[in-house]
Amino acid sequence: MLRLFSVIILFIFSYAYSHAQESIESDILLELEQDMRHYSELATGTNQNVDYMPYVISTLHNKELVELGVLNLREAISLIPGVDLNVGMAGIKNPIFRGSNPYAFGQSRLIIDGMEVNDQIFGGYNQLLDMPIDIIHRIEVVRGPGSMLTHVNGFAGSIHVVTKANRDDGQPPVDNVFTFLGSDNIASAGMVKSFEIAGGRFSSDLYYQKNDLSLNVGDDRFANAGETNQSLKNYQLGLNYEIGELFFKARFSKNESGVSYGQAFSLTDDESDYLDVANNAIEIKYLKSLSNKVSFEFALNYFDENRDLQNKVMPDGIMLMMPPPPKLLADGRYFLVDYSEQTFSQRLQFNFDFSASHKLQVGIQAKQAKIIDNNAAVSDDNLQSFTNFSLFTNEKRDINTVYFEDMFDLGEKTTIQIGGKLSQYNDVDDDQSALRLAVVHRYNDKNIYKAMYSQAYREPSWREQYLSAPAFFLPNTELDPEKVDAYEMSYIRKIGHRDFFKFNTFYLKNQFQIDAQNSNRTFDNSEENKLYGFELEYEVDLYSRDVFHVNYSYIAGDNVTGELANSASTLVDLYYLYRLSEKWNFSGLFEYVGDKGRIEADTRDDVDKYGLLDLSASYKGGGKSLKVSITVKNILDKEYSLPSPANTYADDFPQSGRTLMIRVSKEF
Amino acid sequence: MTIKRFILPVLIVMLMHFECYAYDYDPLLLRAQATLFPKIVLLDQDVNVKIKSRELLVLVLYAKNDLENAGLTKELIEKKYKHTNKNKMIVKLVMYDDFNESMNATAYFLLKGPGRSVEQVSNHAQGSNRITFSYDYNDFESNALLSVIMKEKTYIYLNKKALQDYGINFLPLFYKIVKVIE
Repeated sequence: MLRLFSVIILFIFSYAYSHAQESIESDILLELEQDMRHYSELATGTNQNVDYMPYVISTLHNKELVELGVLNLREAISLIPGVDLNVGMAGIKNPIFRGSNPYAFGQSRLIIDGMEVNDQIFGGYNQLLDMPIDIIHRIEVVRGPGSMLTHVNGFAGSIHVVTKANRDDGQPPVDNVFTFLGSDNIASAGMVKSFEIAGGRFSSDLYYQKNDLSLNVGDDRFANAGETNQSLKNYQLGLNYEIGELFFKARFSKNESGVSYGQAFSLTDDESDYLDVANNAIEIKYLKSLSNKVSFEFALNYFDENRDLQNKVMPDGIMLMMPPPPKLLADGRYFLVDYSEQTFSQRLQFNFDFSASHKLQVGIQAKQAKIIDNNAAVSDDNLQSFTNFSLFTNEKRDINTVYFEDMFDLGEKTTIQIGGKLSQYNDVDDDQSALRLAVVHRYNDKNIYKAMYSQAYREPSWREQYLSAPAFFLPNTELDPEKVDAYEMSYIRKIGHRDFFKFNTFYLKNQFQIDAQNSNRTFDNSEENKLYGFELEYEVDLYSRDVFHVNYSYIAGDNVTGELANSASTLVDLYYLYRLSEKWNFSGLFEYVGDKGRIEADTRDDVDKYGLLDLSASYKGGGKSLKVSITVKNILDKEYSLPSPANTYADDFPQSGRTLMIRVSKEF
Repeated sequence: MTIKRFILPVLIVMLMHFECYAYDYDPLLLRAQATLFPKIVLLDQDVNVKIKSRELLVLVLYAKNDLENAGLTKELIEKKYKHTNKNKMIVKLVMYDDFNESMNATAYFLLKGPGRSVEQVSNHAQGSNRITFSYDYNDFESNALLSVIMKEKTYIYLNKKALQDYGINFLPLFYKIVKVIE
């Protein structure tokens, strides 16, 4: 009896044990699946898996950019295939994506930590491109329409910056301080700091930088030549606070600069002329999961920009013929601007995660942009008296957009993306719509194919549409939005964990392109053009301690007046990073920009091609937390120029020769 | 002249310098692997017979000059391992060059290293039916058993060729979430 009882007890125990064991294993398996999902989301959120996403994307990381001696966001973007730079009013250096409309500032979008920071006056973001690499964690650049953020309407490209203070890979920011010094009295100091407070995480970055750069230029349209003031004082503060499902982000920035080549492409003789641009961007976002499969985000955004300009736009003794009667400007003419704009935005987006292989986003966004200071003046008596007027004729723009993006797997190897946007503008007659259709086929682990068709639209900037001041380029209230139909194909060969070869080809059908490159110098929608070409990227570590990267872009077709103007058809970036030891790195960076054509009416020779070589050496000490680097840019002291617009300066705009920079940073 | 003055000393220093450099790792992938690895080890249904004194011993194998990454991996594995049962996880670091056949463990985490070294450890683990988990799934060519890769999603890769010889008796449901690689 006792034996039977013992056997039963033993049986019950062993049964219970084996079931308990099974239950533990099932729990572990469940956790394993949750972890896999978590890391998939993290990889998607940080765009670690960009090669599998339905866009043409290049990613730049802080570590390599610093080792290459790249100073700021503008320099970093120029390493992206298909991206060139053009110079506009007041020396604004504007990125051009794949040759598309070099005269428009808003064809690409800049998104810093998820906040879109394009302004309304130009549609651009140039003043934020001086942001030093030292505060940036990662840069992702999408070529072609669309953006990594469904609600952002990139036309020719979009630039996503993730700052160190706001790093999104699930790791806390690393506190650090940095400084750099160099030629042209360039100097900068800044820091990144984060800590836990009131149950949440606070992080911030702060920097100040300045330089005294001046560059010589040939005859302007009044036959004056001399030095242009390209100096800059730039400071920025970024703040982030995250508590549970609530996120607060803010970025405050100010640029104080010289007027460079002039607001109206004339050389000033007044050294006190200035252009100050201040931006503030704030976002409050609430993320909430409603169930395992449904979540929503609600974001409130605020953006403002102030421009304060004083520029002597006409030299002494000029006879002003228009408007009649002719008038002698004995003391020249000053143009002054005190302009501020403000944009509020509200966005609600629902995310449906039907399964690991089917995700849908649906959202609605309302934007209200208005001018809050609209002051301009001219002075013909050395700033003794002023004629005041409003800078713009229109003072507000409301934009309402609905959008969606559906991504689902078709079998194990293929992902389909279908997306769309519809926007209504209070100052545009027709609603604007854009479709996106993309296929990603993962043939195997090493070979990925993508095909994309996408559309985009760009509303005219206020400067193109509503300027009321007498300007070099004249506005046109009848402008329609620009449109593009883009066809892209991409092949990615993954050679190793980080080694790759990429081939992209594109065909852009641009319509209603806006520029003022006509005899009236008035903005219009006359341009319809086609751009096509390809980009090659190859990156490999040859000896496990180095990085070799080369990219080649070829762009053909036309962008303005039937020519491929102000944009090179051949671009090459090549760099080699040699990590000699744990402590020492050496790098060489070579950038080649081919000849650039001009608009049809501009009879000058093409802009000469150029190749620039930068060399850097870096040292890491103090347990790798201290980094010191020295960089010589344009070591061959190559003379090169960026194109000046037709009928402005007789020659192009010469750029900096050889410069030296020393950078020191320390992590804590 | 200026270039020669700058480049020549750099080249000379480079040629004279023989110190090896540590391998490059993707921090997010390493974190994901360190999180998933201990759980995979526990899904071996025979894990209890591979434990001594209630201690799961994990050896992290690393190449010369990769100690820092190995230390980070150890820290991550220890941090991510939960005491879901009575067993403790002990993580030890072993350089590939120092590995010998007497170094038995419950499982092996293989950081980047020469194919020959990876194969030596994998063959040893296979002989005693122990799991090898490799950072780089290309080590499947050197007989490693498991890896994790991040593509459009996160995948656990299982080396089909090696599976039978390793003789690991995983929980049957585990095979539903892994990707078996030919």
